[in-house]
Amino acid sequence: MAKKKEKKVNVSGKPKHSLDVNRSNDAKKESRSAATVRRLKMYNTRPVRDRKGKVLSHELQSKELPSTRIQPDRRWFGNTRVVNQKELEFFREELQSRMSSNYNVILKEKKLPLSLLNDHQKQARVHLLDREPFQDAFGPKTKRKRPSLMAADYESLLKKADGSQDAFEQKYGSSVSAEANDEDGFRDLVRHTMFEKGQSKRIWGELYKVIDSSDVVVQVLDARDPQGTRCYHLEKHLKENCKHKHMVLLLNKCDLVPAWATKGWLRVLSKEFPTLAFHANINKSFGKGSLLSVLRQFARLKRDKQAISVGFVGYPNVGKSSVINTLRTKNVCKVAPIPGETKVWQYITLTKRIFLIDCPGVVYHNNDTETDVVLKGVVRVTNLKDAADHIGEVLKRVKKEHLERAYKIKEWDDENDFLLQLCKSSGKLLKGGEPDLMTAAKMILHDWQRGRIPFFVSPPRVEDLSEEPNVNGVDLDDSVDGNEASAAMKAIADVLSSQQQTSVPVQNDLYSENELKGEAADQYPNTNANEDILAPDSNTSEEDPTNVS
Amino acid sequence: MPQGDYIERHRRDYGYRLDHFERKRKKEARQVHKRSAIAQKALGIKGKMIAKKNYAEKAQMKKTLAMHEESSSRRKTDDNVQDGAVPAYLLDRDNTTRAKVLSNTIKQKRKEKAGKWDVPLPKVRPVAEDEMFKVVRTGKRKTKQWKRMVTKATFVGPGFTRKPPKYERFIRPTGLRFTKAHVTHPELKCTFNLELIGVKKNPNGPMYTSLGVITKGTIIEVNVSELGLVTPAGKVVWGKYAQVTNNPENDGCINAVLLV
Repeated sequence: MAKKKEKKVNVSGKPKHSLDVNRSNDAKKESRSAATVRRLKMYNTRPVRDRKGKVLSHELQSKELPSTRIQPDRRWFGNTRVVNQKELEFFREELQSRMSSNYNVILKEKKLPLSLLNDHQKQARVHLLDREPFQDAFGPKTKRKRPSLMAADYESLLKKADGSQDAFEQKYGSSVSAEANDEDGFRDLVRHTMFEKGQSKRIWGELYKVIDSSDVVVQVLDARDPQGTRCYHLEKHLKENCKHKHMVLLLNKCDLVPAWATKGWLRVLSKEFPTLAFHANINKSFGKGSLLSVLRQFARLKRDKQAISVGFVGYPNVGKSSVINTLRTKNVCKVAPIPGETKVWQYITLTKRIFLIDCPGVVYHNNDTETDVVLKGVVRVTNLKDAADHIGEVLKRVKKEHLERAYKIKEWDDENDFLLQLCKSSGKLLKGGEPDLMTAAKMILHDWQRGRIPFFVSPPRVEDLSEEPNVNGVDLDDSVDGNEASAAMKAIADVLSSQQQTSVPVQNDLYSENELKGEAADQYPNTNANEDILAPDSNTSEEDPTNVS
Repeated sequence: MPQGDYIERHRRDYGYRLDHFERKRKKEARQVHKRSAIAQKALGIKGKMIAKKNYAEKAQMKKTLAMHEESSSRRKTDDNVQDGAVPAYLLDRDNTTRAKVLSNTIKQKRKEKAGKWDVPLPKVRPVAEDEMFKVVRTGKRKTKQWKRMVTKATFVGPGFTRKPPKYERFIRPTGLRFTKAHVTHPELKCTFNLELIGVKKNPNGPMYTSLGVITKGTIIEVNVSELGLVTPAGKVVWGKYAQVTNNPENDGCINAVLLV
């Protein structure tokens, strides 16, 4: 019904206007095709009304009842899909070897009898008669004199119950602490609603809409804290329910961390999903060519479709809209250095065959504390009422020399002392010369979010520091391969390998040369920070007599 | 020369008028109406005589048509039978040809076969378009009314991805998508929870079939590998048709009967 041909008015000659449906589909003319013209006219369909406003007719809204008779046919009662035993064995062997890798895909899953290949654990039988046949318990050849129970008497039942209780408590240790909290008589403080940003039903509705419309899902991570900004629930959902969609990890803001840290994270995360490093800047970007190559390979992988859609999902304030602006080399999405700027999903055209979807930042509900939520950049700093409470964690995570360089403060006792000195040096004072700790704390958190205070989480240490690219599941030596799908995945692996070997640019004056080169020394930043905290005490004690005098 | 032949002689010498044959054809076509008008307006004995004549003509026409329609294969045999060839107690029985016997046989077979390939629900309540679709208003001022939301249960398949918003006219909600159905085997009298493979035929129309809409009476294809069916040739059966017997959009599940 949607493709109904209109009546031919202008039989001969050229079309009279741009919305004339009787156009030729000649590709040479570079004009609108007939299908495009029909689609553009569909956008303006309206209900037909009489003079009083009553709807007379509307397309696809008629009240006419169709005929619902199903003709008798013998084909309804036959078998529609059968499979041979040899083919079953072949499918089972092929599936075992290929499905274990994240870099292999099944293009047409509908044609395969997957349920015949996989064994479901739910349907396992009890096997009661195999363990104990009927004649062993009843009849003349009885071997059993008493029923085999779990425990012989009451005391052994008690011991068994205590043993299983201990095993359960060892397995779930967190629940014991929860019970301890209940025994103390205290309850968790009800946190403010602003700490649940990205967890509302509307935001998750937008997320599922984006996932439903995407062929490739790009999860944007913050290179400073990749594991903290991952959404494991989303990855599990894609792996279980949307096997045909592909997940790509994108390490954004890689200019804020040292190059060895970026490479380490690329090496670690590439074992699970294809991972790319990225620096979202319209003029001086890094990783744009690699990401475009990967997206083109996915478009080539899905050649049967007319276009593919790529959804960008992730935590708030990781730079999803900035990545899209970088790919388009212009400002097509609204961006801001604060979380929550993107509120609804946005659809952007990258090429004729690749669309991009921007998604608002989503946060899965987990056991993060308020400080973790603030330091991940989920909450807007201007709305915080107790910003000073989170500065201690900032001082713990950032090295002392970076704070000295950023704020020109040499020594401090604790976070309160640091805030006092910062208020004095920057002039954030209330009436009567009283320091404004709230404003100073917000300044520090703003600098933290915008990357002016350098900080990163080191990748886990790898035993063998081999320089070979670590891309799982792809044989690089297999140069001759007729399968187009594996060729596309191999090209994606090549892009990942080449990016892992390229030098990653780092922002100037952010790290010292020792930090950029010394990989082993910076493996334990917390320990170094703790050692540095102990140093100011002796300095302060030395200066005390001078102040007294 | 007899009087009145001058018309024929004039036509022979100078030809007919240019519109003579057309006027003649039209006059003959209008004869039916003229005779009908005369039959209605005639009164008295004149009317009775006209009616009697028309009745006789009509009866003769019907007999002629019936004679033409009569099939030669159904006619009674008129062959001359010699005396003594038929026993005396069969003389009052009419003979029929073999064609009638064959005709009766075919009719009986068709009657037997009529109910064999019927589905459990041959006809269901029809669903109009205004019940199937809901208008979705889009755009900045909510004036675009070309999108439709499907209000019935749908099946989209494992490799489904929604189209871009500028090309997507029919929106199938996630909450109304189904992947499994409760299928009852009519002979074994047991029910399985089987996966759907596709929607074969929606009785309300082929557009709903292509959209994957599932209503009451829809023929769906289910994955029957759990039943362990095998063909006589030794192959494993993993696809069969079933018909939906409930309203999935109201009940929240799909109940179907396997077509065996």
